[in-house]
Amino acid sequence: MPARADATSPWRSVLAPSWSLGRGADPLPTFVWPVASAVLLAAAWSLAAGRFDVTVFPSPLAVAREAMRMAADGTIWEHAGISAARLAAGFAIGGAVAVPVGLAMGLSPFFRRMMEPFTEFFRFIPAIAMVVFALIWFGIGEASKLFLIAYNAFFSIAMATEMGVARVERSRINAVLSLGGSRRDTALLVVLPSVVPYILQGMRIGMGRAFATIVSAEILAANAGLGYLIYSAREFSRMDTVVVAIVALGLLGLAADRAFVAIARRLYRHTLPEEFGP
Amino acid sequence: MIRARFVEMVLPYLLSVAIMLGLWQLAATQVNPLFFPRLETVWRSFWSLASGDLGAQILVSLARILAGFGIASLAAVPIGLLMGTVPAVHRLLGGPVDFFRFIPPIAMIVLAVAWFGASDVAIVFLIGFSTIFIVTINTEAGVLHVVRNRIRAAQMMGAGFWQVFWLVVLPSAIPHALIGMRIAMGAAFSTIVSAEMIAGDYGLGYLLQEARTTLRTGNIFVGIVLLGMLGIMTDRVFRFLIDRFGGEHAGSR
Amino acid sequence: MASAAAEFSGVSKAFTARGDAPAIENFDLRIEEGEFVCLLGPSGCGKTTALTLLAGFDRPSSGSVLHRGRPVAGPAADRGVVFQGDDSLMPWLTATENLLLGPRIRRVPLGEQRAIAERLLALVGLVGHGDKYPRELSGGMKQRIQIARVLANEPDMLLMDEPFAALDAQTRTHMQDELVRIWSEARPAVLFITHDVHEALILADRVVVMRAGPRSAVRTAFNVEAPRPRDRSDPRIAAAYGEIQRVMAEEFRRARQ
Repeated sequence: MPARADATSPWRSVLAPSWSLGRGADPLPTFVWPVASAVLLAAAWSLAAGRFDVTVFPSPLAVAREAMRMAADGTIWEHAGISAARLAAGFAIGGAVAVPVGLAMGLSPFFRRMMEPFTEFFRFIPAIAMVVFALIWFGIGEASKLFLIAYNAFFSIAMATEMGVARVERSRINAVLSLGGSRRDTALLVVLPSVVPYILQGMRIGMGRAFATIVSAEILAANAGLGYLIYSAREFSRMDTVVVAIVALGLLGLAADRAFVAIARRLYRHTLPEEFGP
Repeated sequence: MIRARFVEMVLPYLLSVAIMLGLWQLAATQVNPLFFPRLETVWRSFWSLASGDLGAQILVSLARILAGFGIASLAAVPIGLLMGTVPAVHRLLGGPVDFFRFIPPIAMIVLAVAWFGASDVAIVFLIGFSTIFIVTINTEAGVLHVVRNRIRAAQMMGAGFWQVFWLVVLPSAIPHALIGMRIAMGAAFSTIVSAEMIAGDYGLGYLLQEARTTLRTGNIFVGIVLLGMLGIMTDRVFRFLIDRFGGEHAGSR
Repeated sequence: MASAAAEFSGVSKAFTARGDAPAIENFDLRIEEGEFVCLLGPSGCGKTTALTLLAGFDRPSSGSVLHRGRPVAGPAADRGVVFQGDDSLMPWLTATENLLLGPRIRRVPLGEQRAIAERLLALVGLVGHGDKYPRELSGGMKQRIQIARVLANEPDMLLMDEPFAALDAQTRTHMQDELVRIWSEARPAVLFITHDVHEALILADRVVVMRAGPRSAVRTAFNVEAPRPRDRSDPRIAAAYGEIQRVMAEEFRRARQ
C-alpha cells in the first residue's frame, strides 16, 4: 500500500493531513519555518510595494529604515508609551468596577436581573460609539480616553467574572461546606480561585477591543499616542511611518496578550479553562 | 406562584430600567440637556431622523458590513481549512495570521484610504480586515479539534482523504467557523462605526460624528440605541445558525 | 434507646421545580453508631437524594432527618462526604493542600496540620504524592485524597456516594479492601451508596435495598454476618448475593415498566 511507504517519509509530518496517524518529527530544524514565513511575507510585500509609490505602499526596506529612525529619535517609544499608559489606566479603572459587579451578578440572581438589561444591551454597542458622548461629557482631554477604555474593559471583565461564578463547580462548594466551612470560606477557598482565570480571560478579550477603541479615540481627538501618530502621518503621506505605527500596535497587542496568558499559566497551571487553549 | 415569578423575574428588569431612565432624565433636567438629552428630545430626534434618511443610513452601513464580512469569510474559511489540514501551510501562515489579528483594523484606515481613496471600497476593506483573521483562526481550530475517533471510525469504514474531509472534518469545522464569524461580526460593527466617523460620508458612524460636531445629543442617543439593536439582531442570527449547524458539538473533543 | 448515628423517619423529598412525583416518599432508615450501611438500588431510585439530605445539602419536603438525635440543619464537619466524581477536589491545590482543607477551615495550627497530613497520607497510602496536583493523580489516588480529606476532620459519620464507581475493577477491589481497613481503625458510621451488589456485600454490616423510584423507600435489608476482611468467594457472601440479586432484578423490572 502506498500509504505505508509514505509513512516512512519525514515529509509526511508536514504534508500529510493533520489528522493522519503517527505523525513523525518535523524534518526541518525549528528555526526554518518562522524564517520561511517571514521571507514569504517580505517577498509578497516587496512585490506589492514595487508597483506603487512610497506614499501609497512603502517597501519593507523603507519601513525598516523609518522604524530605525523612529526608534533612534524616540518618537515611537513616546507614542507607544502614551497609548500603553492610557490602556493600562483605563483597564485598571474598568476592572476595579467590573470585578465586584461581576461577582455580585454571579452570586445574586436579583442583582443579575437588574443589571442584565444594560449588560445585555450595551455590550452590543461598539465602545467607540460612546466616543461621541465621552467627548461631550469629558472633553478632548485624557479623561474621555480613560472613560472609553474603562467602559470597554468593564463589559468584557464583568461578563467574564459573572460567567466564572456561574461555572463554579457545585460539588466543590458542597465539599467545603461539609468540611465545616462557612459561606465566607466557600467564597475564599472555592469561588475566588475558580473565578480568577475567567477574569484574566475577560481582560484578554477586552484588551483586544480596547486597542481598537484607543486607536479610534486617538485618531478622533488626541495629540499623542499611536493612533494620533498614524493619523498625523497621513497629512504628509508618510505611509512608512503609518506602517511602523501599525506594526508597533500589533506588537503591543501581542505582548499584552502573551503576558495575560503567561500570568494565567503561572497562577493556574493546573486549572486553566479551555478558552486559554493549548 | 405567579406573584413569586413576577417578583423574581420581571420586577428587577422594570426596576432597573426605571431607575436608569429616571436618573437620565434627572441628569437632563438638572445638569445639562446638552450632555444628557431629555427623553422627549430623544423621541423627537428619532422621529425627525426616521422621517428623513435614517433608513438609508442604516442600509448603507449594513451593506458595507455585509460586503466586507462576506468577502472576507468566503476567503477565510478555505484558508482556515487548508491551514488546519496541511501542517506545512499552518507553519508558513500561522505566525503572520496570529500577528495580524492583533492589529486593530481601524489602524489600517490611513493605508486603506491611500490605497482605495476615501470610498466605500476602503471601508469594505477595513471590515474585511476585521473579519478575515478571526474567521481563519477559528476555522483552523475547528479542523484541529475534530474528535480523533470520529476520523478513525470513518477510516475504519474505508474512507479516503476526501471522504474523511467531507464526512467528518468539514461538518466538525463549520460550527467553529460560525463561532468565529459571530465574534468577527462584533468586530465589524466596531470598525464600521470608527471608519464612518473618521472617513465616512454616510452611514450610522457618520450620523454619530455629525451629531457630535453639531451637538445634537438626541441624535447621538438614537444612533447608539440603533447600533445596539442591530448588533443584537445580527448576533441572534449567528446564534441561530450555530445551534442549527451543531454548535453543541463544537466544544467537545 | 440511645440515639442513632443517623435516622430518617417518614422522609419525603420532592423537587418541586420539576413538578414530578417525589423522588423518595416515607423513607425510613436508622444507622447505628459505628455501623457500615450500604444503600443499594436501581438507578434513579433516590439513593443520592437520601444521602444529600443527611449531608445537609438539601432539606426534606417532609419528615425528619436526625444526626445523633439532632435535626440536620446544614452541611457540617461531623458528616464527611466523599463525592462520586473527582470534580470536588480543588484542581488548583496539591494533594496535601486538598486534604488539609478541613483543618485549614478550622484554623488548626500549621505544625499540627503537617502532622495530620503525614499521618493521613500514610493511612491512604499516598506517601510521596502529596505535592502532586489532582490532574497528576490516577482516579484511585484522587478518591483516596477525597477520603483522607474527610478523615482529616475526624467525622463520626462518613457519607459516600458511589465513590468507586468510576474506577477500574482492580483498583476498585483494592480500594474496597483499603476502605474496610481504614474504617476498622476509626470506626465512623458509614452510609455508602452503590449499585454494585458485590461491593455492598464486601463492605457493609447491613445492606439496605431501595425500591425503584419515584416515590422510593426502603424495600428490605440484609445483615451480613461474615467476618472482615471478607473473602469474595465466601459461601455466605455468595448466598446473600443470589438473594439480593433476585430482589434487585425485580426492582429493575419494575423500574422499566
